[in-house]
Parts: sequence; structure tokens; C-alpha cells
Amino acid sequence: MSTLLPHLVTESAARFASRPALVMDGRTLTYAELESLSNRFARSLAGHGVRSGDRVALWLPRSIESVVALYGVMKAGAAYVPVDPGAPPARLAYIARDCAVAGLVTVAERAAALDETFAAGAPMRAVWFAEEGPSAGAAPGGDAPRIDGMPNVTWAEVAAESDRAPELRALEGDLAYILYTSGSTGEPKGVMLSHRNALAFVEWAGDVFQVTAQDRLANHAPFHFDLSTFDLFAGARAGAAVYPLSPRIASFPAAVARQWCADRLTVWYATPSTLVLMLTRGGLSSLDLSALRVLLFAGEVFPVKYLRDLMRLAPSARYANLYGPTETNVCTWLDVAKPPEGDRPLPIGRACPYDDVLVLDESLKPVPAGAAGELWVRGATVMRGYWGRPERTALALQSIEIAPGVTDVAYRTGDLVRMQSDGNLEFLGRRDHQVKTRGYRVELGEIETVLHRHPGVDEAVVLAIPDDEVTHRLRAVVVTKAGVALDEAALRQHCADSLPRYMVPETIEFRRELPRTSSGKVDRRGLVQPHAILNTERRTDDDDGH
Amino acid sequence: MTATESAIREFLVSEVLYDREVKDLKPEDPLITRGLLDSLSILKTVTFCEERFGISIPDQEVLPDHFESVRAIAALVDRRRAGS
Repeated sequence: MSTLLPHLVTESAARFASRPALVMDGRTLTYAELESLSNRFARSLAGHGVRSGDRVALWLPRSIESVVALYGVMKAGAAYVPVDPGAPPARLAYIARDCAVAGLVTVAERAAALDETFAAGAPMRAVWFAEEGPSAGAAPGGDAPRIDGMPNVTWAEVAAESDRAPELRALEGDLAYILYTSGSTGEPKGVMLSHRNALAFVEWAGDVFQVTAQDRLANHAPFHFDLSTFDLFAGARAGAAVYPLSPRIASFPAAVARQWCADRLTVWYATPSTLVLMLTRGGLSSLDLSALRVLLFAGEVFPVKYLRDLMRLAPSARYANLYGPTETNVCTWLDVAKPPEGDRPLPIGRACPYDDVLVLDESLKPVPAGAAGELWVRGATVMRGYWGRPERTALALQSIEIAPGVTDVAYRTGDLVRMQSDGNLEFLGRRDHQVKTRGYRVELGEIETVLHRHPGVDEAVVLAIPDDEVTHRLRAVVVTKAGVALDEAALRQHCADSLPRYMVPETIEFRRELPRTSSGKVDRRGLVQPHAILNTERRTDDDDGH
Repeated sequence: MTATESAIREFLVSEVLYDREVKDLKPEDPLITRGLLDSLSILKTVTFCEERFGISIPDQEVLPDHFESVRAIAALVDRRRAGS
């Protein structure tokens, strides 16, 4: 039988039954317990009609139970669909309908915001409440939660199932999870990833960073962010202990830094934003980092001055810059052997052994050595496509000539790169309006679409203002319809009704009109420059095409 | 509600908590366990308190216990104003 992601737990449960698999908030779940509890959960899913090939949404704060649920979904042969726990119910509803989920895993407190219509049209079999303890199954108000029209399954019912392994009908090419990312047309799109996709990365990363059963891995990234696949699955593969970060401390860099050092975590994988905030605001320099063995980062550019500081604090650890969009997971990497000098951004390195990278021009021909071009990726981690969007998939995944006479499907990243003479790729920027903030990828067009949906908005542009600590901060510039008065808070709230928090503009500026280039396009560059804020009538020269 | 609590509450409701359900936020209502504050919200709140109340809040004081509720943030501010 083929190896699938949940088999990593099954195999570690056989080898390391009593070793800790998950440690969080003072609780420990051993590999034997994780194996048996996820079997029970898979049986509960199957018992309520979830079948191989189905999708099950997870919308709950991080917890030990949320990890059990994720494995249970895969053991039922289904794909898990992790939804940002901070996303509003409207976004959950959109995703649930978009990929037609057969079930939802949540907690009682969240269920209060939902009713049976939340996933209208999706073949919802049941909702599961993945929480233990005295508050299980009770909303803060005291009433038992209820989503009418379908069975509501409590954790006690899950625990009463048999823990015998369910029959798993899935193959490596079947979907393991779907990750929704920001879409430029205003709607998030579901990136479909198979067990094989995930395992290619997980096996390589586990080997190259030598993760063993003695390791203690931080899990900082939420499950809708693919950094979490390393923490969970490379950890499970090695029989290591994974430490999911408590939602209570996640927003406090000083608390996270203390916790990780106190727990003597050996492997950290996080976004540069997270690590920079731990360094600048978390008091990392006064803590004991002697347990840190491997520090990995991905998701955005790490400002080298901060990386240097970090490497001096823990000089014996190994550092690596991992790069890759959700559609390919990690596809290139750079071993950072010594603290980088100067201010030149760190390269994104070279291809991981399971993928190939190509730097192509507009006509899909390789650029001359050292010239800038767009990065395309082919190989084992490249996604299966976007759920339910064949036309978007066809634009992103194209059959191209990768070597004379050899064609294969490759993913178009939209990232502009240049190959340095040492073979490392240098990241130059984007060919569209996608930006990073706190490691999250955001299509500015998606936020603009939401702003335009407000009846009082005539025009709206969203700008990404570069920021040292979090890569970009988001600012919207809005022109209201004649005679309409809107306030900033109301418009932010309108955004928060359908967007995750990290996509809600921090500031919204109102103007009578937007500056235009001579070709009539909105002059984004002029808007980003600080002087343009003071001088709203100013027109800047057309810089299109340069 | 004290004056400090009221100023902090007003800031949170209008600038940080983009949520229709918090219009009636009470000083003792939980902020963290409901997931209302992300790391940028906390940075903004710290900056607001420092500027509004003329205090400085060291990074090591920016911890979950001190941001549990409007009341907890106000207590932190009042402690810093008293110079401890």
C-alpha cells in the first residue's frame, strides 16, 4: 500500500508509542494516543457519511484536538480544508460552498455564529465539535450549540468510537488538503495538494535538517499556511514532539520567545515577520537559545540586518531560507552558513532535489544567463490545480518545453528572479499586485473588490507600504460617491465582514479623486510616496511600461 | 468604567476590533481568548497607550496577562503612570 500523510503517525506510533507527539498548554498526547484518537475521529467521520475523496473544513483555534481532526480527516480518505481561524463566518461559508465540504470541524463558541445555511449547497453531513474539558459542547452563554439540519457531534461521541484503524481508500495522488489563498479577482482560490506533493517536501526536509525523535518542533504557522506542513508532518515522520503554539500567546512576541526557550524547542520554522518581532520586541537577546538547532524561515524576505542579529544570538544553529508559493510548497532553498554581510537581500537559493526551476521570458524561452525573468517550477510538489477553476488552473499550470524536446507541466509563480553566477536565484519582485504582509500573501485586487462592494464607494485602491518588521502594511485610498460620508471604522468593518484580519487595511484615507498617470490608470506609485499624501492634486508622470 | 478604560475601549472599538459584535464591548470582556487581537493590533494598542497617556510600556510587559481585557490594559497603563 502507498504511503500517505497519516501513515507517518501510524508508523511513529508503532516505533515510539509512548513518546510525546503533541505538547500544548501543559498537555501531552503520545504517538499511541494520537494514532488511536485520530482513528476514532476518522470512524466518526465515516459513520456520518464522509467518504474517500470528500472535503472537510477545519475552522477552529489551534488545539491538540484540531491536529487530531486533521489526521482523522485524512484517515477517512478525505482532504482537510483549513480555514483561517480569524476569518469571518462569510469567508468560511464561501470556502465551504466553493469546495463543497462534507463536514465542518469547529468549536462550540464558533458555532454560535453559524446556522444551517452557512454552507448552503454543500453536501454537509455533520458538524464536529473538537474540544475537550468542561466547556466542551457548551457556548459561553450556557446553551448547547446547535447547527440545525445536521448531526452535531461532540468530542465525547468521537472518543466512544472504536480506535481500530479504519480502512483507508486513498492513493498518493489524491488530495490531502486544500489551502485557500487570496485571489486577485476578489475570491479566494483553493490550491489542491496531494499526499505525494506534501511528502516530497516533508521527506526531503526531514532528511536534510536531520529531524529525529529527540527533536522538539515549534508549530507557529496556522494550518491554512503551508509552513505548518513541515512542523506537523516532518515532526510526525521522525517521531519528534510537535509544540503547537497556544492561540493565547501567539500575538505576543515576548510570550512566544519565552515559551519556546523555556520548552527548549530545537527546530523553529516561521516567517521573518514573526522572528523579527521576537528579536525587536520579544527580548530574544536575553533568553537562553542553546537548545535551538535548526531555524528555518519562509514566506517573505528576511531583512539581513535582523538575520545577522539572530545568527549571532544562536551561532551554533543551522539556518536556511526556504522559498515557494503555496502552489509548490518549498521549491528552492538556501543554506545560510554564516551571517550575511552588507544589505543585499538573501537569495532564495537553488532548486530542492524534487523540483526544477526555470527562468523564462514572456515568450516562455529561457533568459540569457544572469538576466531577469519569471520563475516557473516543475516537479513533485507542484499542485494539482485550483479547486473548481479549470481556467485559472490552465493559466497557472502550463505545459512548456523544459529542455530541448522535453515538455512538462510547470507552475508560473509570477515572481521575477535572476540567477546569480553562483547558481543561486535572487528574488526581484512580483509581476502583478500580489504582496506579502506578515508572511501572508495578499492580492491587493481582492481587497479592492471588497471595498468596491460597499455602496458608498466610488473608487478604491489598496497600497502596500513597505515595513521593516512585517514586510508591508496595507493602506486603502478611497473616493466615496458624491454626497456620501463614510468613516474609516465603518469601512474597515465592511472589509472585516468578508476578509481575514491580515487583509483588512490598517488605514483608510479618503480623497476627492485619485491621482492618474497620463494613460488614465491610477498612479499607485505616486500614492505610495509620502509627499503624494500631502499634495493630493499632484499628478506624476506616466511610468507605465518602464 | 474609569477614564483610562473608556479611552482604551474607544480606541479598540474604532481602530482595532473590526467586528460588529464588539460595539458593546465591556471592560471585563475577554479580548485574547476570543481571538480579537493579532500582533499588529497589539503593537497599535501599545503605541496608542504610550502616546495618549505619556508613558512607556517596555516590550517585556506586552504579555497576554496584561491584554486580557480593556480592564487589564487600563491597569497596566495606570501602573506605568504611577511609575512602577
